[in-house]
Amino acid sequence: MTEDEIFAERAELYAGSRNEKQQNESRCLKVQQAGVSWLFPKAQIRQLSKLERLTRLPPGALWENWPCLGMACQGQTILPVLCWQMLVSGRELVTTSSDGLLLVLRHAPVALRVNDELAAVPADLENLKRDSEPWSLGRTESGAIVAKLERFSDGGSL
Amino acid sequence: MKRAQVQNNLLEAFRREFAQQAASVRREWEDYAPETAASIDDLAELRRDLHTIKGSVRLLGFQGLPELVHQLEELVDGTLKSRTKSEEFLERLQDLEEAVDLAMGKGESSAISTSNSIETADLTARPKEASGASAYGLLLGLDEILGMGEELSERLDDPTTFSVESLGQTVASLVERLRVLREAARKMALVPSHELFSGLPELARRTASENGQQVRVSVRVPSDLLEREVVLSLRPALIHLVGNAVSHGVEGASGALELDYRRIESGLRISISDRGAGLNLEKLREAVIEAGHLDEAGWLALTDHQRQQWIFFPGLTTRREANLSSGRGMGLAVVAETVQRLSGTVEVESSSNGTSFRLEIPTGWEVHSVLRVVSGGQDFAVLSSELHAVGSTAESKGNILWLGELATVLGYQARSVRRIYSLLTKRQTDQLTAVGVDSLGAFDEVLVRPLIGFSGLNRAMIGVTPTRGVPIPVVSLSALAEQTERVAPVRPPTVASSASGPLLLVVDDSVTTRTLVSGILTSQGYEVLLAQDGQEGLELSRTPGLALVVSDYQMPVMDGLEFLEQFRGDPLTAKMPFILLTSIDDVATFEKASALGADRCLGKQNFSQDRLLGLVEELL
Repeated sequence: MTEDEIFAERAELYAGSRNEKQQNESRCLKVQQAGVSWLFPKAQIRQLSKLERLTRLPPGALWENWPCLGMACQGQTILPVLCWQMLVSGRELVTTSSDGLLLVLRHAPVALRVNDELAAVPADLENLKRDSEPWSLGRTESGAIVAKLERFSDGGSL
Repeated sequence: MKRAQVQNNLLEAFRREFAQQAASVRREWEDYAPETAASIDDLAELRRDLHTIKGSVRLLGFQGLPELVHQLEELVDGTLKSRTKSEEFLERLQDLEEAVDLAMGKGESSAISTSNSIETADLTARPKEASGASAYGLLLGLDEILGMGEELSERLDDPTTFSVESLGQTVASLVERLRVLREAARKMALVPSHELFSGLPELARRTASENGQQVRVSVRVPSDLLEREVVLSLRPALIHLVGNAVSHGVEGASGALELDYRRIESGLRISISDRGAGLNLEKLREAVIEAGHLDEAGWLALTDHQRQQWIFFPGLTTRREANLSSGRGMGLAVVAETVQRLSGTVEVESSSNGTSFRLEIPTGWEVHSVLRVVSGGQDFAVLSSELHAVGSTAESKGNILWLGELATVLGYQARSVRRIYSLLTKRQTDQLTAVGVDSLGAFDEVLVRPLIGFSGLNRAMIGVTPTRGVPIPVVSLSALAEQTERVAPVRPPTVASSASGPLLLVVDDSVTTRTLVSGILTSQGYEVLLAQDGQEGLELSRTPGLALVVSDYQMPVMDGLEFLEQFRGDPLTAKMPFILLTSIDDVATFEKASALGADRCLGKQNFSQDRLLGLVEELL
């Protein structure tokens, strides 16, 4: 194989993986939360499950400084569960349901509790309108907010 | 653990590790193409593997093998300099593999034990044995359970052979076998923490002796269990740090080395310290600047502590020539990488009084004995080693400081309670404190995941233990007790108890079980007599008005079965209800007890207050 051929093959592989990445990122999970449509990029979600058997923590509990609802077993690990509504509203809710869905994040050892009104939707993540909401990557044409899950980065783990 | 067993474990670990590392070295060497590569990172993985192998063979004292690895390292260095792949390398690697095979063949004989017996006498802790389980045993057990499940499934499909009774027996048998497997798996996952340092004092002394020096090694290890994977992953790093400490930290004819491991809030802290003259920062500066990582101004902008951390950078060394044990600048890079892989941190602190390497590793699982309880409608597990006694809250008066409901003290919102028991624990000042719980469950040995990354929680919540898919908070009663200055003492709530009920006898040599069982019974209005062995139980069994006996099986002086036999032989007690409470939770024991006249048997692993009270009510 000549150097040019090797280069061409690598370029193709790179383009392929990039396309795949783009495709993944363009698929989102849509959740209605307190009248707002939130989009969670699927590429950042490791697992989606029904929230059952949540162990509550006392009010005021924080995980990596985020208000923490409780903990749940996921496979061989135990994850802190954060309530998305509590996070975006920036305050502790007096009552938060233990029902709903659990989004286990791929890049951080944490799970998010969201409403169970959820649908898979395509979204153009390349052309978002910026906004000032701290949990927002930006808004889509339809006004849905794309969740900024990078904020959890590589926080602590349980 | 016997010395021979320690050696065999080490040899077995080395055998597996060496096979993987040698294969990896071969693969990387074969893939390496000097003509297209041009970076300092070339063959970095291979060099790290060789370094680790060298440390391990030195540790095990295989004569001549460190020299063989050293030759391989020289060939790699030559290749990197000349950019021409050495033709000898694979042959020498083959020599090494054969030499290791040979040495391992002799491994269990005197060849290893005479020259390098693994010295463990100075390891202070002797925790309970955590080995004895094998993956094969686990697989066999799982196969057995799978077979039982398949058989059960077939029988359920066939109405002619199905019966509720047979289903119950099969399920009970399955549960029993699963318990055994769980215990075996637990033993496989954990090792006594002293294995972290096993063999290292001897390695230090031998390395010093080769340099014509002597070194005094002190080891401090608490008695607990660590995750096997963490210990195995850390071993190469610790071997290197000990070798490094002897090479650089023993000045003159003699020196001292301290190996220390302790638990901290975020996990484990391991320190390896010497009393040498400290790092030579001037040489480190030259190496950093010569390698082009920093310029003079960049170096000057750093604090001394920051400068010292450069020794972990791959390829940096303060030595001009590499020798058999050090000088290539790879060892500490391996240490840093190993620690990073475990999500931990490593740093060096050096002064003219010595150098100390400190590794902090977040812990995974720990093992604790707990008592399961319910408070405020929430399940908890409290560390049973800290439990002084269990009783009804009505007894929690006098000098006992009442802290409140366990859930409330931990910050949970109060809910109504069903029954109230108090868990008593002693503060350091001997002051007794009590917290209330709604109900008591079983004693258990559980895996606990420490709470890392959390804040805003009561520090007495030390972790969580998964129970049937739910994480249950684990609570340190001692930590709660020490917080009492901040808690206003209040009177315990009174418990509605019936007037003096039937008189029961509880016989158990364990003070915890005795107080737990009697606490449950008295809270329900029963009067309780206590005895600590079968002989004492027999004496009390003729007490007028006695209605029922709850007795342990294994006790000193007279065990539960002998007690039962004599109890049944006395016409006065021949028909009195008798419950055998035992930690030997197997069918044979239960059958034996039934044959001797026990009315009911209750395994301690299945113990709960509801079960106990249910049996007592049924028999009365």
